[in-house]
Amino acid sequence: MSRNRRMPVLLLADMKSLLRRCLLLLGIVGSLSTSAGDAIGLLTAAQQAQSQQSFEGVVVFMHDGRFDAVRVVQRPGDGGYQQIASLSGMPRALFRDVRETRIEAPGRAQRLPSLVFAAHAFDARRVGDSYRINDAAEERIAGFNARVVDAVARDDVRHSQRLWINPENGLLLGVALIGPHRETLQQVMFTSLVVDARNAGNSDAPAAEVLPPVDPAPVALPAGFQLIAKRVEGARRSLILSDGLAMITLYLEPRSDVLDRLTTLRRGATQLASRQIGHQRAVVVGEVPLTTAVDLANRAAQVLND
Amino acid sequence: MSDESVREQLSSLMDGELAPDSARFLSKRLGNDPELAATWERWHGLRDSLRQQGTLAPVDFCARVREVIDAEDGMAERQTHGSSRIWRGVAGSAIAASVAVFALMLGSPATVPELALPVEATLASVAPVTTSDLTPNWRLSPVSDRQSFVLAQPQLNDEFDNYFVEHGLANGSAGALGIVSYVPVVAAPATRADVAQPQNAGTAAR
Repeated sequence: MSRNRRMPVLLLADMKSLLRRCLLLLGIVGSLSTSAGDAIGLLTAAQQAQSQQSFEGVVVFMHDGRFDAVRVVQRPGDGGYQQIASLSGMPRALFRDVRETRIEAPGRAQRLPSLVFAAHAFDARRVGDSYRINDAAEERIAGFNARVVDAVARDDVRHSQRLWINPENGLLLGVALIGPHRETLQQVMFTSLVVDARNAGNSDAPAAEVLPPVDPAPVALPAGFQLIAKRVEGARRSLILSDGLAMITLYLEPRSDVLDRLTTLRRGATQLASRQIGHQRAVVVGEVPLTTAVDLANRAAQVLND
Repeated sequence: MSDESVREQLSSLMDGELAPDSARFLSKRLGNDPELAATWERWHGLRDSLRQQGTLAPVDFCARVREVIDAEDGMAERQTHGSSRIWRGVAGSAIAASVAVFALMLGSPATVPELALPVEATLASVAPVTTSDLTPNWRLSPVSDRQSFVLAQPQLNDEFDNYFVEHGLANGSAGALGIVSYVPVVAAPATRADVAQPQNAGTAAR
């Protein structure tokens, strides 16, 4: 009798304990999803701020075992422009407005049309498919508060990224590409920054607009990547691929020479793989692992010759 | 004349490759077209940044050019009032010269004042330098073999250089990172070229 009376008490205690655990679990899951949601929101804000904020500053670019200092100026709105100039190493500067991009080096000036894309690489709906997004921590960069957003690659087709984003104005204060062993492959970080809050606008007036493609990609793309834009110049095609965060450019072009050759080059974390078979050449450039670039170049060159 | 051809001429003027007559007309237009003048100013700022002058063109540069041109116009107007067209040509040349002088003033290298060193500098004491003083107290992340590339001489490859530039520009325009994506385009290139035969492609791809 007494045992029967004790049973409900024990059950109640067990249920309370179970309820507490469930609530704790729900809390953890909730905070994780909120963290991911906040991080996606920060990434979205960063994407928008890149074309709307007026600022200038100096960034340090760590690559290939060296550091370079680069001065950047962004003025959005009507008559807006971007200006980037190296302060160390080989003098080189870039000026971009809605019409053209001008690259200056000692004794050499290069003019290219400024491309404006109808679609952007960042896609909040797809980024979670290829990366685990976490709002990891808070740090201070160039005197500004920064949320640290980690985009951890779900496979070895792409690199992981760590981004430092100012939560107030959405400005990207730094970005690092992280390799498979958590090593830093390349990093850009502001060391000084002046933000002009008065002069906000949108500088994306179309110049040489690159339209989203209506046809599918002519070659099997790396997992998670989609064709977001295509540009055709004569017989040469440039395909812009994105996995929601990283970008690859695939160039497909006929050549006058006949070769059977694979060439790979690297600058910082940017890999280039060129594969020519006969008269056709496929060149892949992107901040992706070498294997991803080479595999795609091989497949594309093969398709061009089929 | 289309905007594109005007900008082409402006570019040639900057490079000193524009015919004198065209230069004169363009100089005149620079004084009357604030947008073109602003472009001229920015391009000069860009070029100055390459020359390590440390300063950009003054913000009122275009206004000052216009003031000089207005003054010259006024002077030419007074001098040519009722006189021959020859004076108009002279005034035009003066305008072009004024603009050119401004450009040269901006383009000339900055002078470095002589350092005022003391005649006799003495050191009270010099601490001995140890090996540990010369060892940087850095903690670098490990780098994988595949990505390892440390302090090698930059290796350029003209054939593929433009692909990096084009990708950087596309990345800057469409990428998630905006202006930061342009940074690798202007930073010193350091590349490693591996030209492999097709049979090596599989090895590289694995």
